Amino acid sequence: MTFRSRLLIAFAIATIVPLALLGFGVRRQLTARLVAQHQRRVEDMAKVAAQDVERESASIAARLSTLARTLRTDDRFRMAAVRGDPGERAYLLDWAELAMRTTGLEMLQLQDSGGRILSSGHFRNEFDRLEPELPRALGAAKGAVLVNVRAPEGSFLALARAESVYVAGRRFDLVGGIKVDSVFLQRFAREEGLHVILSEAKDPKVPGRGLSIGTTRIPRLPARDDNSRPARDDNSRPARDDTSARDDNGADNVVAELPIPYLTDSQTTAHLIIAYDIPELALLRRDVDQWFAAALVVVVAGALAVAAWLSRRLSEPLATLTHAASTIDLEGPELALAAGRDDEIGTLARRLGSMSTRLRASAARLRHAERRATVGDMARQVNHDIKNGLIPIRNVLRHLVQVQEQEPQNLSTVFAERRATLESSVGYLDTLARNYAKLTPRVDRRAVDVNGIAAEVAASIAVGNNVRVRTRLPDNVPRALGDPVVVRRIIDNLVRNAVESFDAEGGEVTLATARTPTGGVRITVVDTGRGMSSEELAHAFDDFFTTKPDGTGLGLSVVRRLTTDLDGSVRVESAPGQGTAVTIELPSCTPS
Amino acid sequence: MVTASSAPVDSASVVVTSPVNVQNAPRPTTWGERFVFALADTAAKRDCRDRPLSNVAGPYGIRDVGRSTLQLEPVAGARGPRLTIHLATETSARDLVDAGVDLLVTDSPALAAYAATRGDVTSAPLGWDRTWVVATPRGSLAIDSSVAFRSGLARDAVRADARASEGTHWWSDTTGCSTATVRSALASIGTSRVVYPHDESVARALAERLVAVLGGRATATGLAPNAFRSALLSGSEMAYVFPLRRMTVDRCRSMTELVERASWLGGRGAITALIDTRLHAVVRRDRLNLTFTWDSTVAIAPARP
Repeated sequence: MTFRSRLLIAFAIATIVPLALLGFGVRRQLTARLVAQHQRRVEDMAKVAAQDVERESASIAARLSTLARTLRTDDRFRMAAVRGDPGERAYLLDWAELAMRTTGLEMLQLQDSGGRILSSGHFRNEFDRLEPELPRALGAAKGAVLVNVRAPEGSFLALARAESVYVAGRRFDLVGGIKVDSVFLQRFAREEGLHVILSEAKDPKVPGRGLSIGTTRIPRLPARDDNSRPARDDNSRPARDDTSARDDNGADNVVAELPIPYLTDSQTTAHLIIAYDIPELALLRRDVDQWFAAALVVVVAGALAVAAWLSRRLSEPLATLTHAASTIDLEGPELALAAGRDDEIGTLARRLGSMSTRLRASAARLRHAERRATVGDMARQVNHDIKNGLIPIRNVLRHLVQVQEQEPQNLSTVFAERRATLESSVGYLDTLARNYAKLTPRVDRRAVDVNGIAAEVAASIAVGNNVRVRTRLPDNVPRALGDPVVVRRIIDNLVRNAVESFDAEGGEVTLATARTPTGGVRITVVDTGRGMSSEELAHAFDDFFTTKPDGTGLGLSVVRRLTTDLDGSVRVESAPGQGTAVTIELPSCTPS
Repeated sequence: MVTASSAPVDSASVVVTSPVNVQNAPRPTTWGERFVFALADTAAKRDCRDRPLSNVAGPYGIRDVGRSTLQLEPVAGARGPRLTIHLATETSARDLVDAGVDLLVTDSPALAAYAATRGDVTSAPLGWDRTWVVATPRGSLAIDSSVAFRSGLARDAVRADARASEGTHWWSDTTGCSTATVRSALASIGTSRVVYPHDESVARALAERLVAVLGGRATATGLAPNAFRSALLSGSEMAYVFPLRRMTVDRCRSMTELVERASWLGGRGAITALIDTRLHAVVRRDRLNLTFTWDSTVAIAPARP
């Protein structure tokens, strides 16, 4: 991740987080205040609802009491229920329905003392069914109780009470009530935005297992138009999420709860939940959210712009400095770094500049030292090469002096024999001089008679009596592609190194040529000298490395350089006491 | 059988306490439709030996269909008075009786008894023409099939003139009828409903009583004629309560028609006869002549010259 990206992210976080905290805090405080205010209001409404339920309970009790009084004087009822007159049985069966309609009840049963239903208003053909627990449980309750009432089309919920009446010494129980459905609950929802739910569960988020009816669904945030909320049907169970009374902050509506006795196998209390959704709260939240979003957009945009400007101010000099550092050339012109700044980047640039200056001075000193070393090397090489050219001349001259002193009559003959050597050496020196004059000698590329040069070198080498130079120069050796002078220097250096490697006991040098499998020319110089250790062998081609007291250490290094110039290769094999074998391979003049 | 006679009349008013939807012709879904469609049915004017009933009016054509009235006129060449048929509830029928009607046909004994309190009428029960059955696609329910239970249904559950269904029923004897082999795949039963045609108060009362006796989660649900027909065809309900003709001339043809309505009856389905009911007719003696055919169809006789 770039420095600029990190800077942008840091700025964004540093501005968004505090702003988000501020928005959240404001929203939370507003919600808490508004919710507390409405909570008191809803609790007051719950008290009113409790009074309403009490009033309904009293009304049911009054109606049942009236029916009980009527029954005592109803002769047809007596004939049917007490005397068992079959002619009045239809009257008995229809009595409850008629009485229920007359009194405005929505559920009515008449039971005998054994719990047998004699007449049922909400379900005429329910007669003869036993239900003794219902009047018993209702009679034990202080007020009205919620009960599930069975009907042909399904069960419904009723707020019921029981009343006993004695006729002819027999006890009969009247169980009556009113239907509890969304219409019933609607009377508690006196204000717009007020929702009433009757549920087994106290927490409206958790729907009851069997009971859950309401005037409407309790809305969820964001507040929706009331018209869009479908009204609940009686006895319909809401889906689990429908009863979520609150949003995640628990504040889009306020809830009060009123327990009502509920008669089921497992439950003893139902909960009348009064919820008030607060439209102002939703509007307030929406406004806060909108302003917060606007502020967030502005702040984030500003923060990003500032961050971009700052990051550019910081990163551009760094990028310039980086580019300048990457283009520093110790031999080129000196670059002007951003040294005019007085901040950390300026300091860095200045330090980088001074470091560049020091490096430049060090490089100059190094180049000077290298030049001096190179001149010395060259002088030593020239000395070495000239010495190699002069030695045959000196040997011929000594030979001629010796002949003049000992056999003067043969001087002209010997001179004639050795003249070629003299001319060859002089020519070699002449060519050497021309090459050095040009400093970078141009290597020729032409056909070279390697065997001829090898024979000349072998003949020109002056050796003691105990040193023997043997040649093995087969005729099938092709001509090499190269420069004759360079080839001669190579062979001369190798043979001379081999001869000089002998101690006083002497030895034998074998100079051989051969054709390589690939058609090239192989030159091999093998001596029986003292050989080299592996450590000496590792440095054999290094300049100025020598094992001889008066050696220059340039022989093999010159050989390698010259061989490389001719696109050839050189290989050395040696072991202490085993002598040394140097193999040169040169490309042939004719392609293989 | 002529129950009353009177001076000839050009028009007469008739009260029927049953819904009538002429769109259902010629296949009645209620006893009221059966009564009205029979007046328009030429075949109904013949006796069981296919001889013309010379003293029977009609056949009639339905001229006008109002909200609660039907106007019937004899077709060209037919005899008989113009008829205004009032489709009434039991309550409104009492008002019409008090206003004076020529003929009341009802399934309510109480209404018939009230109408008979007028001095100028003759009241007579018609024949036991309908048997109310409960049909179950998966075999019989755990319903008490004793005579006592069925008598209890007839006495207490319904408000019609009813009795425990008696005798051998035509659908229980499939001898010689190929329709008994009709099979069809049953839809899976997904409900615990006892369904019935919602226009039939007797069916409703029986269904409610069955639900009360069965207990549990069973419910009684009334369905519109088309919905009931579809439900009966699918066999997807727990039980069906509906009426069947008590008598038939062609047993196998009736079986075929029944199996066409509920093909599963040819398989594992079962029919249990519950009660028989009959209608009551109350006629003004000085206005109309009535004839009841062998299957309790009411025919109006032309007025005497």
